[in-house]
Amino acid sequence: MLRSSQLAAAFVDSIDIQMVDNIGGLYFSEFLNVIIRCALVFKFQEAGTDRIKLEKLLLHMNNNLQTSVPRIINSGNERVGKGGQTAGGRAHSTSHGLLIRGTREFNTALSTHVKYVNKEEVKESIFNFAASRGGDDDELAGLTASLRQGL
Amino acid sequence: MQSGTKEFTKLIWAELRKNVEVVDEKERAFDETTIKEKVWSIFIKCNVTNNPRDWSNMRKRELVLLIRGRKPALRIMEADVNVIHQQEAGRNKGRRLEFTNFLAALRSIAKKAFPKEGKKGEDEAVTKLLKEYLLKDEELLHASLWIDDEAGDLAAFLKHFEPGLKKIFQFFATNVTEEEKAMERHLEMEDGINQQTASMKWPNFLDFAAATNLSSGTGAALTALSLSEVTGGGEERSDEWKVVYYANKDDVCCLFALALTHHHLASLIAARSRIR
Repeated sequence: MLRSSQLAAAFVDSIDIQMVDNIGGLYFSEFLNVIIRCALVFKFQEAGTDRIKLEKLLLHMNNNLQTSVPRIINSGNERVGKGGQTAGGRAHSTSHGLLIRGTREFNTALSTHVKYVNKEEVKESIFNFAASRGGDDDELAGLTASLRQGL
Repeated sequence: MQSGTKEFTKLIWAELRKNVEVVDEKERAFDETTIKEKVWSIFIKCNVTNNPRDWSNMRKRELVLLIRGRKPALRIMEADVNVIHQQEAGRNKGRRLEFTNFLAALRSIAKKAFPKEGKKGEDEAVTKLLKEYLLKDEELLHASLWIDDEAGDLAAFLKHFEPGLKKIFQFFATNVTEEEKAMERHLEMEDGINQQTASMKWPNFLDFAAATNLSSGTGAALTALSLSEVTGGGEERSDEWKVVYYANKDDVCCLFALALTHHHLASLIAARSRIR
């Protein structure tokens, strides 16, 4: 978990603007930089390389999105008019579908990304099981056979 | 020949003077920018550390700690700092002490702390305050977390997740304000992102952090509970309900509701704090 101060520091450091009263909001590319900064600071148990830290952070985000997205949608906090914003929602929004699609794509990308990176990176990835499951038919056949034996 | 040499010498000197003036002007500008950057860095450090949920606003306590915590001590009373904070914050909407107000507050503090220098000129007092008390203490400066070369690979790695992250970003982001346009930000739109969903402001980012559980502090945002008005830990009971709450040292409050109906929770929150 990050402290609130670390979160604020990651936000401020990722925006180029400084020495003004209102520095405004993040671009999408700056938002990606914030995620990288959070990953570098985030304290995981047995954190390895920076790449593994980032993978773990993405996994952590994905796990929490799976529970918080239904809550955001069910809470009906997508307000229109003068009601103001509430946590997780934004005013004048009809974009819950966008959030659902985004979460689904993010989840899929997380479980399949090892197929698209090079072999050395796969070895160190925390998702390397997905590569062998998808790519090696013999291994899959062996797993099925052992399951049958077990049954 | 003589007149030619004279004219030539004049020209050379004029040219040299020009260069000297330009260099001086540049150096002065550079110095001012560096000093302003460092003051910004102090402003950010104080607020991000002590008031992270609203870091663009310096509270009275932070200003007092910054000024009264100097060694050797500045000759200014806490009450004076309080009054200066009140004056400068009062100029702003919502009585917030933002960066420009902070600069003005430092000027007032310098005049008060160094009356002799203040008589010579306001700038001398400010320079003394900054150079001898604030800027020399490196612990006061905010250390940015720089992304190094290895992180460039991380950015490339994040490309795999861009389509999903972009949609999530768009959900939380809001429209680009006129102020941002004036700063020439968000003028070039990224692929698939329009003006209405291009800027993720700090409150939106807190919402995102709450949804992804990046920080324990942001969990409180989901309960829509204003923490600043919860003064300490404790326990409240009635016949029908019981709520236990506590605040840790980061002023992060966790709320546990046990056998609690919606009505009771709403009434408790309304009584204890304001709903955002």
